[in-house]
Order: sequence, then structure tokens, then C-alpha cells
Amino acid sequence: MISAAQQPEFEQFVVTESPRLLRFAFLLVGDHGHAEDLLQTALFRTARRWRTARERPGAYTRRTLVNLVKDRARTTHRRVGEASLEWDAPAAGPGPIEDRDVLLQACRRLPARQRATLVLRFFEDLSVEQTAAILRCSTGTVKSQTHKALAALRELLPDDYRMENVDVDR
Amino acid sequence: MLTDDLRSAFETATRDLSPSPELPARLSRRLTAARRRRRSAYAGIPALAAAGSAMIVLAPGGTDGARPQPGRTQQRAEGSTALVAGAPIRNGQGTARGVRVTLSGYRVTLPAEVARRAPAGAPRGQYWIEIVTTKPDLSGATKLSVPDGAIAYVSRLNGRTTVLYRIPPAKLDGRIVWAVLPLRDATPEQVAAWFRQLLDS
Repeated sequence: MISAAQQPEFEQFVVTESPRLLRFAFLLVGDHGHAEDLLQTALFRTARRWRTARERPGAYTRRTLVNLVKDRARTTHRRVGEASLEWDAPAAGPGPIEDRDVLLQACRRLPARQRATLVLRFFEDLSVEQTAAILRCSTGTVKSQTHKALAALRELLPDDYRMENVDVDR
Repeated sequence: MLTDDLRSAFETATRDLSPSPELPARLSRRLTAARRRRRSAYAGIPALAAAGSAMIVLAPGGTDGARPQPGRTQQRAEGSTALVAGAPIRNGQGTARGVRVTLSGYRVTLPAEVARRAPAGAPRGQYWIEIVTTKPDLSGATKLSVPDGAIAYVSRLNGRTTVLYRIPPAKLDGRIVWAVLPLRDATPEQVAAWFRQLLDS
């Protein structure tokens, strides 16, 4: 448990990093409300392990978020029928809204680990090594998960969506 | 390239997101409550109630089937009232939505995804709250009528009794409601009465 003396340090971390962490969580779960709940839980766990996490609190919290999302995915099928939750309305921005929405919807259908890999690589812009450290897997696994996720995305996207190969070793 | 499109989509979809300004305060309260729970397993509830940040509070007491965790087990095992705080979520998108549980203090019984879940085929635009309890008194019922148009569906799931309350949206929309439902050792009639109190408050 974080001590009262260390709490200001943690609170500063929350203030500076929570916007980015919320965006990360949102991309993992596809829902603003769930993302906020998960972020709060992840930050709480980070605080409880602050002595361990304070070296790299951002990475620790991201790893916790990924684990929480996987936990949630694992228990969902044990629950009774659930009405589908729509992806929150996309924000206005460059590029056709339809394309971005299709892409996000396709991401949402990927397995949690593949989705996390894509978000860490292409939203957080982490290297293969950094991604592997957060996901606690080998760099080879990150590469293969990235490859599989992109291949799955191509399958999920409509035919008219133009795609090209990508260098996953980057 | 697909990866460029992904980057752009990720960036754009999340650009306007920002955490609740109350997040640091909520975390601080949870940490304070957690520290206090280490000293006393029963200290969290008054502290949370005094904090006054919750918009909806449901309180299934007793065990809820969740994994026992340090600092929480005794509190539930003794049947003391547990608090879960949440706020009614927006209902403008026409989807079957539940009640957003924004946790304040500590997570006890209602994970957010449970609170947001609606049974398959549920009418759109309804609020749902699920209360999970091992209480045997509710296990025999299949449908529990609750006043004011709210209906509680009772089902068995993984050995637990699951109670799904449908709440008319107008009853919750935009309001701040406080209620504490001590489910442990309650009869269905008592649950109905508490629920009526929640809706009427």
C-alpha cells in the first residue's frame, strides 16, 4: 500500500498520465464508461503496489489495464445474455468517418491480446521490446500477435478497404 | 497503409476523451478507505457515505460470489452493507443501457459491465441493475414484481442468485439517488420495499 508520504507523487502521476491512459483503456474496451472504470481500478492497483510500480508507473498501469481487460473478456462468456454495446460515436476528424469507424469496429472484434498488441504498437508507438515487456511475453510473440491481428483485421474489413502489407519488425 | 490508418483511427477516436475531473479525488478516497480497512474491516462504509460523491448507491450485502480478497472478505462475510456507487448513464443512443457504476471508494459487488448488461431481447432504453447474492430466499423465485414498473428477474447462475432489476429510465435520468439495500437475510418483499424506496427517493 502506498504510504501517505508517497501519495503526492502518485497523485501527480494520475494528473499527468490519466488522460493518455484513459485513451489507451478506451481503445482496449471500446467504451468510455468501461474505460474509466478500468482506469480507476488499474490506478488503484498501481497505488497499492507503488513501491514496485514507481520505477515505471505508466508501464505498470498499462499492464494492469491489459490484464483487467483480459479478465473481463474471460468472464463475459459465463454471464447471461448481454445486449451488444455500441462503440461510442467516433469523433470528427480527418478522413472519412465511415472508414475510421469500420476500422475501430473491426479492432473491437479482435481477441483482447491482439487488440492490446495493436494499441500498444500503433497508438502508444511502443517498440516490440517495450510491448513485450508490458504484455510479459517474448518479442517473437509480439511480432506474431501483430501479424495475426493485422491479418485478422484485413479479413474483417470490407473488400473495398485498401490495405497493404506492413513491416511488423519495425 | 493499414498501420497508418490504425494510428489515425486510434488517435481520432480518442482525441476528445478526458478522464473525470473527480478521478484523483475518487482514488484518494479509495486509498484512504483501503488504509482504514486495514485497521478495521468495517470502517469503509461510513467514510464513503460521508464522502457524498455517489449518485446511485446499491448495496448487496453478504457474499456476492466474487473472489474473496484481503480486506473485503470479512466485511461481506459479516453481512455488513457494501456500497457501490454509480451514476445513471446517458440514454440518448437508443441502446439497452444499464446503470454506469462509477466506483467510489472500493469495488464490492457490482462490476461496471454487470451493471451495464441487459438481458438478451431487453427493450431498448431501459436501465438495468444486477444484484448478485447467494441469499437463498430469492433463489426459488423466477420473477419478482417490484413497484413502480420495475421488475426484478431472478435467475441462478454459477450457483449464485442473480437479480436483474429493470428500472424505468425516467426514474433515474438526471437524478441523484441514494439508497442502501442490505440484501443479506432479506425477503423478496423487503427487497421490493427497498427498491421502491430507491425509486421514490
